[in-house]
Amino acid sequence: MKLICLILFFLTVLSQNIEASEHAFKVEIHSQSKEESAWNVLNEKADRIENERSNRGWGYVFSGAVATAISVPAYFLSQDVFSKAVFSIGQTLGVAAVGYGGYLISVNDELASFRQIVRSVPEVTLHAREALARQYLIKNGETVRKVRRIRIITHGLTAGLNFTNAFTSSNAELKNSLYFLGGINLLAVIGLAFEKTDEEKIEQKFRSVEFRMSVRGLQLAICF
Amino acid sequence: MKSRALSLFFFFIFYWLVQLSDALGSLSDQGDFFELPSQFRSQELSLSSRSMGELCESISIFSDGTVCNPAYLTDVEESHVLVRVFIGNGYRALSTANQILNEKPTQEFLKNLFQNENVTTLEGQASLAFTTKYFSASYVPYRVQFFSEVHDPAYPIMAIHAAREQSLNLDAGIPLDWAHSNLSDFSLGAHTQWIDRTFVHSTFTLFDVLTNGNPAALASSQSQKVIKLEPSLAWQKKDVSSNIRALRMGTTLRNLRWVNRDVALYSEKTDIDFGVGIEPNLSLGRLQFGLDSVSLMNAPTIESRFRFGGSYTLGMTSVMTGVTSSAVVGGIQFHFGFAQVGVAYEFYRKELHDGNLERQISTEFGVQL
Repeated sequence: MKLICLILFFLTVLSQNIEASEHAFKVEIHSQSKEESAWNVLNEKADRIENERSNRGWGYVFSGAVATAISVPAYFLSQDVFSKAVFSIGQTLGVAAVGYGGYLISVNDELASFRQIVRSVPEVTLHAREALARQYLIKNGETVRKVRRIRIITHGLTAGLNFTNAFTSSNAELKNSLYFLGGINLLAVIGLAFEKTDEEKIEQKFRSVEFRMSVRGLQLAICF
Repeated sequence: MKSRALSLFFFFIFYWLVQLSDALGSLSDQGDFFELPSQFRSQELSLSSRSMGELCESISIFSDGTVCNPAYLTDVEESHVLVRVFIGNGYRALSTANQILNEKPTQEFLKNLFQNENVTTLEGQASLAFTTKYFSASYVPYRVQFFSEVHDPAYPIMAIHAAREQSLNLDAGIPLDWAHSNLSDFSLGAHTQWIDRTFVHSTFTLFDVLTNGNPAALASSQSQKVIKLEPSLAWQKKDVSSNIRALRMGTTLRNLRWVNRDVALYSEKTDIDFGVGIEPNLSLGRLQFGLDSVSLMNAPTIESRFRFGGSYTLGMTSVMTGVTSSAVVGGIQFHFGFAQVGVAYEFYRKELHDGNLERQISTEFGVQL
């Protein structure tokens, strides 16, 4: 038993939180600095996303209305067939932009919705709220990482197809275009493979917080 | 005192060089048929570039997300791929341009050119462009430009300029804050371009067409391969004041090049472009203005050195305008999701030095991934 306690104590030293091990069972957000609080991180992110969505949404609504208002008369006044095509597409894009802008304004982002749900339940304690926020950020980071892996595979397969088609093509312009597209997809694969998103960095940070907490908890449960 | 005297000295040298190049330019002006129409001198054939008077040094990122001066690539936030088709002045002249460049023109075909309108122009380009922070690449598999003009109805003389180009462009830009902390607002860029060009430059009369046993020889094509390297420098200051979001200056050393054969018509001399741009702080949308001075050393006239343009972008709509010595242009572009379309109206365009003023409509269709 003493040996197990010594090993766990050693693990705690490695996790660089010797002082926190004395209060491990409390597991209060006050033991963490304000910047590390998962709920605060989630709150700031949700505020930023909501502001961005609102600004973008109104921008799309207004500019979509302007685009439609310009395109409709311009279509009838144009005589060149390509100009007519441009304004016809402009009308469609304008209406779509108004709809998309309305969606951004009226429908919450998933993260903002989660925050709203947690806030709307008064029975949720500070500790539970912190734990929920931490788990949400961890799961969100996992999802983003899986999406990044799928994109790497997709771009890789597309690059392979582009290069194969370019190799077998007899038309010089088509061959060069396909080699170029294949090269771009290859660059995308390399970029995505080495790029880590903000969500993944946040996930890593809170996974290490969870690990430290579970080590402390296990140590104290066994020793005391 | 010494530095002021030196500055004055260099200013007078520069002024003298400008006057000398003006004088030399006027001496070499031998009339329309020995001159390249202005559209053939366009560096970038895209709607945003054309609508803004072909500005390059004073605008960081155009409304379609592309960058002209590679030193501004440090400003790019998101990566994207853009596939676009640019068509200038409709499709009617496309078959004419194709027949001149790709096939041997027949007598009947050349006779019909004299019966069409006095001036026929066409521009078209299909391109693939990839832009990301610090790097961009574009491939233009097909760029065609065609210009024909009939002079003197009593004794018709036809001048034809037609060119088909294929090019690959690689650009890179890096910030200079790694070199010294005082250089944090500066960035360095480099543009490399490989061009494979086939062109026809010919003048003939109706009499030549009717009497020549080999009509294809009247419009014979030539080819040229060019590799260019153009280093550039940019300075950009953001959040200058509550009224100004950004101030920028850019300069590029143009036409450091190698050619496989010298052609007088495409004798692009090494030169310097410079531009100043401003972006006012607006609560709604983004407004950019710029003034470029191009071909500082070799431009034929003072007014041909200057280009002014601006754009206002709000959400999915961008409105652009530009003024050069040969054109007054206004354009509008819509971009939403992956689709991008636009149209530019060139209200007054002067292709040749003392040619007539023409009107031209250009359209662009693009897909952004």
